[in-house]
Amino acid sequence: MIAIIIFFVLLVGVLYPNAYTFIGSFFPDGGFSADTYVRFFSSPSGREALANSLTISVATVLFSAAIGIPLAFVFHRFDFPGRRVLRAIASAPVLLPPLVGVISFLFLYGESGIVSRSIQNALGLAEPWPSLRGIWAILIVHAYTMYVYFFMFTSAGLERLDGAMEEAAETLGASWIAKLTRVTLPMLVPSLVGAALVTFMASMASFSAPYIFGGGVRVLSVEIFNSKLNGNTPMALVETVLLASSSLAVLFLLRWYEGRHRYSAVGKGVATQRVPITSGLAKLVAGVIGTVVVLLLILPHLMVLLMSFVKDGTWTVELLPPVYTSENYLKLFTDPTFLEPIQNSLWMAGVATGLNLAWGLLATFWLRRTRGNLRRFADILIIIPWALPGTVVALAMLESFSRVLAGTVALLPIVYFVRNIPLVVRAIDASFAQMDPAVEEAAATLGAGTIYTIRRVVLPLVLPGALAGSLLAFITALGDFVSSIIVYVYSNRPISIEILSQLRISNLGTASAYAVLLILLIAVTLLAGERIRAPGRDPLVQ
Amino acid sequence: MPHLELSHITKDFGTVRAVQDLNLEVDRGEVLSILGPSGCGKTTTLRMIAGLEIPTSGSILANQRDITRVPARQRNIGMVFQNYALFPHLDVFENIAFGLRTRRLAQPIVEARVVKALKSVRLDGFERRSVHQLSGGQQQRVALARALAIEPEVLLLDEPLSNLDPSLREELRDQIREVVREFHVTTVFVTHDQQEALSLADRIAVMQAGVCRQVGKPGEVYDKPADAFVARFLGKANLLPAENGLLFVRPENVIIHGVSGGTSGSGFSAVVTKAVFEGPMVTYTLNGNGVTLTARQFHNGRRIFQPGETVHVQIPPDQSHVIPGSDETE
Repeated sequence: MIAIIIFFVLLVGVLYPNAYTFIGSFFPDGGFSADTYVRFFSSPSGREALANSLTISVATVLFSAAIGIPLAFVFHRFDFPGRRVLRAIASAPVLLPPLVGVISFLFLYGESGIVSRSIQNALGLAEPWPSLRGIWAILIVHAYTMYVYFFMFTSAGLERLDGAMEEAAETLGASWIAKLTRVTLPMLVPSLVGAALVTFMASMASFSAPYIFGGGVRVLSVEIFNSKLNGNTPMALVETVLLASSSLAVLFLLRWYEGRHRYSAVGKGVATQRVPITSGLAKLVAGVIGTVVVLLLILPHLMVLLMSFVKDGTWTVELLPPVYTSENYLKLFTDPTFLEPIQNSLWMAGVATGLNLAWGLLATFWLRRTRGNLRRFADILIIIPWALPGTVVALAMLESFSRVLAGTVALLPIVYFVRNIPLVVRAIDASFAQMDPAVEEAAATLGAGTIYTIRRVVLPLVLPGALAGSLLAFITALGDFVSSIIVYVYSNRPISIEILSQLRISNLGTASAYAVLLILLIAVTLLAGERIRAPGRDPLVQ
Repeated sequence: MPHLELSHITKDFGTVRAVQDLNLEVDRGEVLSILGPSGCGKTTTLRMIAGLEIPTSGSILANQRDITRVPARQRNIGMVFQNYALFPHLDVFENIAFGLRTRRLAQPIVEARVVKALKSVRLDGFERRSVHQLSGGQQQRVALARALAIEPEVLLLDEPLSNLDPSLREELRDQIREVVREFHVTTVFVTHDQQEALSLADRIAVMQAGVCRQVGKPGEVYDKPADAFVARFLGKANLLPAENGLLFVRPENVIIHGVSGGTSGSGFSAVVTKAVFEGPMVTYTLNGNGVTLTARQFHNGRRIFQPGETVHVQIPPDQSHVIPGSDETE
């Protein structure tokens, strides 16, 4: 019975839409034909979109690595005033939902952005600078939002690193560069590959940045949306398959590389000593750099906050907004039309996450007791939504459910649910991994049956981790834009879609007030997640 | 009539045979130790008694009742796990009460039994402590109390002392012995440490590679090992080539004299090749009669023989015997 529920979700929610898309891409008019593929590859714009997607993603990985890795080293190796605060702020981009981040960058560094025009005024330039546009704009936004992956993966890798290993290298006469290249970096390979993988996939999947800020740069994720909008469904299917398969190809390539370069420490090891920065000059330099970094990191948040107080339609050519008001916020909560998107986002994310938690627990319980091919099959299906860009998942589901669910309110929360399956299952898995399997056996020897053991022992131990993972899923669903724009209908339009509509009619203030609300919701949810995880988190160790 | 009886137990994991044709009997109130190196099948045996593994063949009887396929939760067998497996989300009281609550005992009975169990492991007043606040030794005692609170037919201990500091081990060993005697519960414990087995058990079963090599009282397995493996596993042993097997003698039973004092008829001469001073005792490595052997002696302030010196060696017949077979372990 449990297996039926589990596989119903996986087969209908994951396998069927993707198989439908893949097969459908070869049957443009009902008969088998690879014509659409031929048309895609013979058109310069098609090839350009594929090439752009890949180039931008590779460049994003390099940029993010160049920022994230050194930053992680600085925080791991040095002690300086404000270190803890800075470290917390380093994760600030996480608070920005994709669409919101892109918009604030547009208003900061775009052609008429505050920073661009301030620099123009200050330096007396003829044109605003940097006036980000096109590929560079996309790359800068990507680097800002995705360096966090490298920062977090590298930090975690460095935490696990045995400090004695570097000390050993030093006693053997290694210079700092030899230490870094021959000891530290090889040990970090799994972390770095993991970060590169996540960054690459996120960049391939990225929709908001090229869609809003790209200025006509063709990338696959946006082309899919455009083809669909223009009614060219066969082309949309082909582009979907190509986006999915290039993401998967890189996934397997990196996994293979990582498998060949995995080292684990032999001993338990010691922590690395942090070097305190003591000299006055160094402190000053560190302080200045730190302040600049903090400003760059939270400027987007501040920008959205500032804009949320701008009276709609008043800010035109001035450097700073001339009229401020709080009516944007009042409107959100008093006018039912404006309140609706908030309610929509909350109920859809809530329902999807609730389903994720319930199904995830059920699936994990079942998987833990199952071996063999059925289990391997389920494992693969569970990971698929993670490996596929949001556009792909959403379009596949929209097309394959076109006769039943498409056009109804229910499809979007179902898409949220399917997209977050891997995230929640992995969180629950991790909680189970932290649990000592002997406690279940101990319960059995003390006379507890299966249900009793689950209720009194397993659930209490697993639930905190499962809830924390579900909250992350809730945030993703709450801020989602990529899949929403493909499957939403007017009556369930989420916050992100409403932000876009308000921008289209130049209601900057209203759009930004929504954005601030979204940021606050995300921040509160993250804090709640921390609280859940904190007590009783450390497993019993002797 | 044995309280617990394992007959012809075999357990396979895939193609690996973990336990082969094992026969064991434990009397009521007896403490049996299963001793062997890691991977010898001792923990698997314990888990089969607990009901956490089902034997491939053979049967397990408790009180003459076949429990081979009875689920663990219906066996009333208390087990102390190697890593204690305390429930991290429950306090000390609720950990110990867990098995009583599954039995749906009334709250006053639960409380009385928990208090009694805690008292017997000398942790009175620890009821509301979180298990995270306990030291390793205290966690171990809570695990013991939890297993005893259900008043089990049989108590199982999996490597009870292996996770503890050496200084704590002795103290806990004494405490386990006291508690087990106090509850007069039939006990089976598994260990790879011969000291632990010799000092705690009424009888010892020595296992190797899934096979039980010998069962007997501590003195028997130590002084009269059945084969070369048992001889070596329980302590240092000399196994010298003899006519129909190997002559076994413990180093401390080898007698050596200086040659100057004159020699009696039996024995042979040997040259000291190494002398290691160990405080109260000296361990000599000797070479004579074509063999190498080890001898341990209290020096009692006497002169210590130096390498190169010739000594006279005697092997007392009542403290040595011939083990059949050849020396396979070396």
